[in-house]
Amino acid sequence: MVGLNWYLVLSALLFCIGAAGVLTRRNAIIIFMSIELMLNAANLALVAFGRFIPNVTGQALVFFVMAVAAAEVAVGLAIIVTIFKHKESVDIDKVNLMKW
Amino acid sequence: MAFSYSDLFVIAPEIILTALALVVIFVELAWPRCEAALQAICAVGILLAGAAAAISLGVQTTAGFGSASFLNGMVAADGFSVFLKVILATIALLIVLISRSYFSNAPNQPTENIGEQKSASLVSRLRHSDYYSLILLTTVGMMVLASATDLVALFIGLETMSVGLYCLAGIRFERVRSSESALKYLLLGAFASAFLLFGIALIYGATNGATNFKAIVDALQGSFSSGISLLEPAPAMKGTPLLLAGIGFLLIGLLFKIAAVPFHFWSPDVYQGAPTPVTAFMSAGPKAAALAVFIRLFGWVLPGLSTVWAPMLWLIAALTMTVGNIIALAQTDVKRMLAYSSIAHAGYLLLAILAAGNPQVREAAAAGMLFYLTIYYLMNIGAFAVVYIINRARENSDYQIGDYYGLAAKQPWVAGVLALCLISLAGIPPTAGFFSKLYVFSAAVKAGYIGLVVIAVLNSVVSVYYYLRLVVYMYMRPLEKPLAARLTPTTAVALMICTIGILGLGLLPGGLMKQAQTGAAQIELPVPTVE
Repeated sequence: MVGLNWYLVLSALLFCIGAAGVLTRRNAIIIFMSIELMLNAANLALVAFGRFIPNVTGQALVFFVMAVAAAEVAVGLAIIVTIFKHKESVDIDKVNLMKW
Repeated sequence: MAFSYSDLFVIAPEIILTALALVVIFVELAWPRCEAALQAICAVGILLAGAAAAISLGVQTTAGFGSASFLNGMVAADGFSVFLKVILATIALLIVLISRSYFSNAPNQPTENIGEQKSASLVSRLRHSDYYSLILLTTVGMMVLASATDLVALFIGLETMSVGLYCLAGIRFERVRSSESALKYLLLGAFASAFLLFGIALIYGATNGATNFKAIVDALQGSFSSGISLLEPAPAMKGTPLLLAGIGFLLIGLLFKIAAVPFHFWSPDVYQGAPTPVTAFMSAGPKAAALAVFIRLFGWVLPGLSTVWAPMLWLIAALTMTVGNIIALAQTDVKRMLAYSSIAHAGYLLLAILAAGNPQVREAAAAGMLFYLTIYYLMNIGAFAVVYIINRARENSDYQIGDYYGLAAKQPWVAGVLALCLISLAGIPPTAGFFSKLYVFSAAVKAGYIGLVVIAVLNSVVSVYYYLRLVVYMYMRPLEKPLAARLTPTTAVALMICTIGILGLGLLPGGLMKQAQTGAAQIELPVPTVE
């Protein structure tokens, strides 16, 4: 039987893949995809905990997360489109007018 | 659980603001070009929401609901959250007052960023109602965040606030700087939200299915009284390593939102690129809301683990103050300087969180923080409003400090307000900025963080240099370029509110402090009514 630990390990792996993607890739859309992967890793952990505790709050929270992620994607892609219209590129190294 | 009208009372401010956000869109659809009316509707609605928050507290105390829980313990209805809702409503009101001239006649204005390529498809099609409704909805998110007593409400409030702020940062999408600032904020903000959510998931698992703050407290007391040590893994993955990892992730997410130092890289860029009224909003509101939930979580839910998080937070607070102030010294762009100054102020405010880890002084710490936040938004919004007025008069693409030379001779009132805000930010009496620091620092001393308070005081001394440098330039240098700044009546009202607040509360801080203490003494963690 697949136990709780398996889900948690998978979730942690997904989270790390997502975080690594955010930190290493330069394409804004791929970074955005990696962030979605991280959110889904958290969703997986929530659902797994909810199933094994057992308690439905985790699964309910996942619905909220999905809705929030959808809103974030809508706003995020709109922002990426405006950047593309300015720069003809979505490479974040080209987003460099302001520097610390 | 029966849904009752008292539940609606508790979230009345949020309901009013959400309805208002929809109303303004339709008002502009029906009557285009009615900017003044829109602004007036927003201002009146926000005042109503603030009044509703105050009344809901009054109704509860007279009806004796006491610690009853509303909406299944999702949000608190205590004095602390009501105080914050009033703060947040006032912030929204001031921002609405200063923003109209920024967005009126926008396409006819020479663009802020001269020489930047402008794509033909990006002609400004901005409607005022979009902007106002985003401000209102973001405020709703902040109110939910500030009163959250459940991890679910925390997450939803935080995201409502953040998504609104991403849109606001990029609202002048025909300007490349605004778009860049939105993209940076979005990518880093969403990254931090993912950490926060993962932290919530781990805490949920570690506490055996608790998301309500009170339930988390109970779960923690269960595990600690049974003698499980912090380092030993407990049986069945309910143990503390999981919990500590969850708290760590949650901490990262929250520290990002208040721009504490290892997580501050977004803030100067976003502050600089965003439209100035939005920057004023971003520097005041989200910080207040995030710190509110931060202190509730770490002072009232997790004080038992303060041996674990306090050293970490100590280091972060020291770094935040020092790095913020030192980099601010080197800035020649006023907007970036204020951005770094707000990072430094986040460091001072972290002192209050640290002090709240000590159960004896946590109420004093929370009261100090409420007082600090009240003064802080007055100073910051006042300063950014003046920066915006000067920038508009100069028609520059940047906010160089040279624009302020000799300002006092030409614009004595505007220069006076900016000087007052800067002196208050530096914490010099008799301005209110002095008392806000005093209350927070004294709470930290009582909690035993004397070393950190010494660092904080030294930092305040350093910060005097860059704040007063600007004041000196305004009063002592000759005017270099002619200047024709125009104050719209509403902006003048907003500046007046800031001035009266800073001076009045600097001379008579007692009344507000008493309110803050009452609010802090009432922090409650409502219990969920259904399982």
